[in-house]
Amino acid sequence: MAATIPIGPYHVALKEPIFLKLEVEGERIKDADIKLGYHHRGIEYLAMRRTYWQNIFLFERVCGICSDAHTTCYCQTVEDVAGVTPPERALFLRVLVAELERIHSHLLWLGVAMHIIGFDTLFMQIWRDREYVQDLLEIITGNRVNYAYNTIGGVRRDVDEKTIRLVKKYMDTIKNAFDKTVEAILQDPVIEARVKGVGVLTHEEAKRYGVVGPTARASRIASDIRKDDPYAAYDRLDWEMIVFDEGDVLAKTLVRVYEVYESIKMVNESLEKLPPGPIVTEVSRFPPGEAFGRVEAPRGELVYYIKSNGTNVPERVKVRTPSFMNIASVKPMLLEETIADAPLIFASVDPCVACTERVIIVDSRTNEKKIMTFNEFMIRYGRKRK
Amino acid sequence: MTDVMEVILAIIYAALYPGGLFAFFMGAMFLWSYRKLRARMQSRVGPPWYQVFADIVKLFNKETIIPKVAHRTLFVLAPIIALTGCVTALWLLPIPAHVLPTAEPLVSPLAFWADIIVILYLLALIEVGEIVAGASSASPYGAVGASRRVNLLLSSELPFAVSIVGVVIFMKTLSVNEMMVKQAKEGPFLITSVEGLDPMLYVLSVVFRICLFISFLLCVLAKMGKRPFDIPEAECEILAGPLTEYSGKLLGLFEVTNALKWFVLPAFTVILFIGGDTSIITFLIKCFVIVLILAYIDIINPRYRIDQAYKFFMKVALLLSLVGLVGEMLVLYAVVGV
Amino acid sequence: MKERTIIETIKALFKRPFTIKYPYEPSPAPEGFRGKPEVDPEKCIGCGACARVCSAEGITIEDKGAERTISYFYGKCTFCARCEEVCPAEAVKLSREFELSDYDKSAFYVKVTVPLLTCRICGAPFVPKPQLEMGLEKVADLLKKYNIDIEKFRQIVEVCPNCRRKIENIEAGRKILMVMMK
Repeated sequence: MAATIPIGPYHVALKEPIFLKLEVEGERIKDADIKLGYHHRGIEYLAMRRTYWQNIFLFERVCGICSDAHTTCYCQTVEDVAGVTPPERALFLRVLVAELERIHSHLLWLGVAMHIIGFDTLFMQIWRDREYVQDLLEIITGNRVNYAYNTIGGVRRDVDEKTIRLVKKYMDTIKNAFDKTVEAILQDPVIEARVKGVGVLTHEEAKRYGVVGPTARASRIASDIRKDDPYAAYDRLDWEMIVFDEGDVLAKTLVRVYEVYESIKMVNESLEKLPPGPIVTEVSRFPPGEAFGRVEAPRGELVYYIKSNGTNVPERVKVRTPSFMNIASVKPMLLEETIADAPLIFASVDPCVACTERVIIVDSRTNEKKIMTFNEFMIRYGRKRK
Repeated sequence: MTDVMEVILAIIYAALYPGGLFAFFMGAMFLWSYRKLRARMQSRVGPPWYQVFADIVKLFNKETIIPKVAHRTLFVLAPIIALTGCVTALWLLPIPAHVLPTAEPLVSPLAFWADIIVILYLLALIEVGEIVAGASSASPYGAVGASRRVNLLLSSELPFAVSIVGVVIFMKTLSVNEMMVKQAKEGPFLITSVEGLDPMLYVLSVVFRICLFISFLLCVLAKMGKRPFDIPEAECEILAGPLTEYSGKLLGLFEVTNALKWFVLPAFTVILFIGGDTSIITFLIKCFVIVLILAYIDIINPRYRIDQAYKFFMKVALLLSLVGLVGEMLVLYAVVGV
Repeated sequence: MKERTIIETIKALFKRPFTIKYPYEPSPAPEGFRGKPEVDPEKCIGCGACARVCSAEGITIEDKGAERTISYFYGKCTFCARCEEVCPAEAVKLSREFELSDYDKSAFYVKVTVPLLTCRICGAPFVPKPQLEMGLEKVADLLKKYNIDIEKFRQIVEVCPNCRRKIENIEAGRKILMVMMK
């Protein structure tokens, strides 16, 4: 007996509206359909009606969790258009905030994953430790989520000695707390039973779907924009890319866990190597032209394309968020798994739906490879008779 | 005259103390202490002591919505089935009513009416209520929740029954009342001895009884719907499971059942394994210890998947209870030769 | 098995809760937090730079009669601090206050009124008075350098651009402008 289980568009495990239609036999998932489009906000259109400076704060709101990655990418791309280079100090400060954000994003994901498998105690403890990162971001940038830290040509705030000392102190606190959390996760037999071998994305499938970020790195794809195409000050820091082979939820968890350690290392290092000097370069005009920029957001490769026509309003801004690549790959992971694992598998790519909702995905089912013609579309939706 | 007095006493016993309202209050307190402990262990503040009552009062003041597609009769009946099962089981439990210890335990006048098998059925009725609720609500989450509840009930009932059989064989009675009286005389079941049992065999026998106890506790966890067996109510997967479509007074009834469950199941555990109290105070303390054990297991565990839970009950819980039962029988055979 | 979880839960039990009962206990924001923007009506010169850069377009300017009203609408505010960044008079400061909810929508509006200067010739209002004063203050040194009487200069700048275009050939004004442009 096959039944259809809807997960979403509104569902407790989903923080954002997305629709997963699962065809199940008993508890086994036989087919899955992912539908986006419940959260379209028209951000790209808005961007074409605002000045470059106003757009910084608009793109910050593309994603609540990786808001710094979005502004970094946007500002880098605009700097490319304008032909300016931010001062050294600003580059290191960008790394500082970006890595703090990565820690907070990964801890958030880890907490959510624990919540999904029902381990609320660890969930609360992880989020308790994450609070230190949030406090740091609040002190450094002035807000807990939408940091408004980047600006075109640099960053908007400097860090003083006191803040640097506090960051280092808190980094130790977080590292200690996180050590314990990781130990608890790795020790637990029930967690292992829930995440090991679940939702496997093979290397081949991962390549086929073109996944990015931790999802890709968990499937033996060594891709990280910070290494492949270094921006900000990443090429001057000493760090390692974390790659795992298995491609299951455990591997995705471990990739994020070890990335947190790398990020803590990078935060400390960027503060040690922080050069003196100004934090912003003046940008006065935006000559006609186009640019293409990418950064490694906590969820993967984030791409911006900007076309300028010489005015202070961009002619076109295109955003491709990492979740756009990753969400589609949920389908092969879901097949032959149970409903109980579906939210976990879906969450394992760390989907950020609001960021992604800019394009319509046309998902053709595996067996029915049928592309609808315009005529058929009109008939189906009652605009035209047969 | 005495007949009338007995009836009045029985009514007071059933409605106020220690059945009925008192049990409900204690259940709510146990539920609160679980929530508070959980909150504190998660570095949170936790709810105030009256939270459970506030929830129930709120729910009873709210509008009850019955989905159009739901089976109306069953939908309304389900919480009543669950509550009936829970309350009746409560009445049949011999809960000591005296505040101070006495020579002869004063136990429920109603408890003489039935034996342990009836209680077993009545406790299953709580879960049946939930299954009916889930199945009748015409919600996919409810349906999945109900099917998981059935699965869990099927897998946990066997070790549950086997461990009870272990107790019954040792006690040589099916009446819970007699068990209580017997334990009051000879000490709690877990550590009591039989005449002519040599120390080595005694220790072995206690180990077997602990096996039964652990298996029983695991099944109680499943009956309470606590981690790692809170699969039917896995909020991240199927929202509230069987109770997804419930609201208002009907959900309030389920909440009352839930609060009562927090008293009935620990009390049942105490009566079977560490009973023999003649005073309500020691009885409640023992119940509280059981509540703490259950709560702590809930706190430090994530949730199993339903297939894993099934395997767990078949492999671990059933094995433990069978080992306990067979071992117990062998020991008794060696001593008494029955 | 689960030693670490057990140790951590027991530890947490004896520590104080990490969370607070927030609305009943204060939770102050740290130094440098970007909260509610506060305008100092004394300092505001009414130039409208903040309205121009506001990323949420929550600051609006309205000229009515001889008065300019700059209204800050907190309902739209994204707390980006661009207004604070661009304000030439340092009249806008983002405070640490963040509890802004209210039942009354009018509580989200803060209005600053600045008098507008009327043109000496046609009488039409055209520039906020304090903005002009500030501009004059800035050029005062320059004027001294070129030996221009500040009062005379004031007479010229208090003429609206429209009229100025019409009276371009007024001798004195032109002379001063020429000197300035050198």
